[in-house]
Amino acid sequence: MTTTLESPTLQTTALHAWHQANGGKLVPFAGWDMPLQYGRVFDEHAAVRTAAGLFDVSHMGVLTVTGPTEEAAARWIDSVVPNAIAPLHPGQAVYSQFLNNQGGILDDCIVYRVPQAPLSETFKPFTQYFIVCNASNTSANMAWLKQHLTAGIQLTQVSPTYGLMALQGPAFKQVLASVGVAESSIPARFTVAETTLTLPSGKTASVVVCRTGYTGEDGVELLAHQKDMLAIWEGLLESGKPLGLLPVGLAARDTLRTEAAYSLHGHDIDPTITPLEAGLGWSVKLEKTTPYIGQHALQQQANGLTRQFVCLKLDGKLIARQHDAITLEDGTVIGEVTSGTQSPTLGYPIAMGFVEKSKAPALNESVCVLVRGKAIPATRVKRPFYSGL
Amino acid sequence: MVLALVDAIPEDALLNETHEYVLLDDNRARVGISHYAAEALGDIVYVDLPSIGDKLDKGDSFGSIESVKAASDLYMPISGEIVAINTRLEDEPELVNDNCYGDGWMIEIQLTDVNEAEQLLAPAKYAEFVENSH
Repeated sequence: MTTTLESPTLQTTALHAWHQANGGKLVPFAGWDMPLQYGRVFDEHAAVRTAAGLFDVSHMGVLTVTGPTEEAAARWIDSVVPNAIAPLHPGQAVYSQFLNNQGGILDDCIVYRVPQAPLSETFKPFTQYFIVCNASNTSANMAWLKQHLTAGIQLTQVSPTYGLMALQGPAFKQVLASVGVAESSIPARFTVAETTLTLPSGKTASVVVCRTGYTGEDGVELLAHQKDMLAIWEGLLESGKPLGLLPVGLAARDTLRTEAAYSLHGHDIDPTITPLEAGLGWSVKLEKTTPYIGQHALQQQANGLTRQFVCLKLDGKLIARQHDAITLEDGTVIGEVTSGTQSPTLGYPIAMGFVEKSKAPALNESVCVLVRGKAIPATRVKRPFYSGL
Repeated sequence: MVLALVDAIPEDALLNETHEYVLLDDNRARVGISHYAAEALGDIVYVDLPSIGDKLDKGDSFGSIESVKAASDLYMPISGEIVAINTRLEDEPELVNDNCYGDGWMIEIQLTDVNEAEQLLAPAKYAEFVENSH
């Protein structure tokens, strides 16, 4: 479905045996053997939009950054990402990217500042900042970041010793309440806090609750030690079942993020696309106290973009796929699709892509998408297609 | 896994190497895709079918199928004229995933030459083909 890197020996998460034993259709994804779906993709998608879904996202890279002081750590992260890290308060998080010298996106990530109160012994390596990045890019990110490391900064990959699962959907607070987490202790959007879950078995487990996600629904991502992952996963599914909680695979994760028009690295963003072109300018600081890699290129590009990110609603039922051409009605090719799917929530096909800025349709204007040789009329619509937030 | 998928094939079905099946009834036939193919495609969201009266040769594309994962052409396993299409698939394309040899059939054709069926694979031969293509 998405970027799949075949690897002779696939890595497995702490939940791999559970996925196998519970109907998970496992596929190679970014070097990991991951569940594509457990049942129907549309049922899993609907659970997240109307109740809640639980995703194993332990394949993602988790990196800790520790400096001689927090200020030093922030300053170093500021030198490798275009968003502003120094202003983050303890417990705050921000979306950003790693850029090459041309401003192209090597990967996107979320940078978290650890909360004020020290975390428990379980999360000992997390003292200042941590970064969550894409599975497919984790080792390349580590190599790139190490190249740019400055004296005194310690960068450590702590995944898969620490794993992530995402609990997303309107019922996520009730699911957390069912494992003893009071609403008052759930952190606000883009902040984190440590809490203890009391599982149906009576067992307790510490998690770092991050109020972030990739579905277009409110929800949390739970960081846990891999030794606790299975108990937490099973406990949440058991106590959340009456609330409609389902385990959700990568296929629905993709349809959910496409409806929310979140960029996926390898599709909608890559090293040839800058955050300004990708419609992610909101996450970029052109001026920052600490200069960063790619800054100069972004500053120059800010004077005149040549590509425009667009969201398209397609007529009919054919689904546009990555690399399908976007054309004017007279057939002139003006760009291409980077992601496309049938929107389960909206009931029609949707696509994202790039077009030449000078020929870009305005909102509600029409273009065509060449899907398997057929010119399908499509209308430019607002980003995102859908948001439950 | 593969064996379980080919086990579900009706005994009297005949298949081809692009995973379409034929269920013969005298000089007419019902056509669909195998359970193995439906599983490989994943959740099917759209089936594009031909018009009644279309005359197509063996190997011609008679439509296409879209899943969450991929799109794929559908090929005539045998030559003939389209005499019926499964209109239920318009609103319930998931029938192909649920019951491809039953409610998830796609087209009915009036055969041009019933002898063409001899070139198709019996279930055991198809199973062998699928096994070997892994």
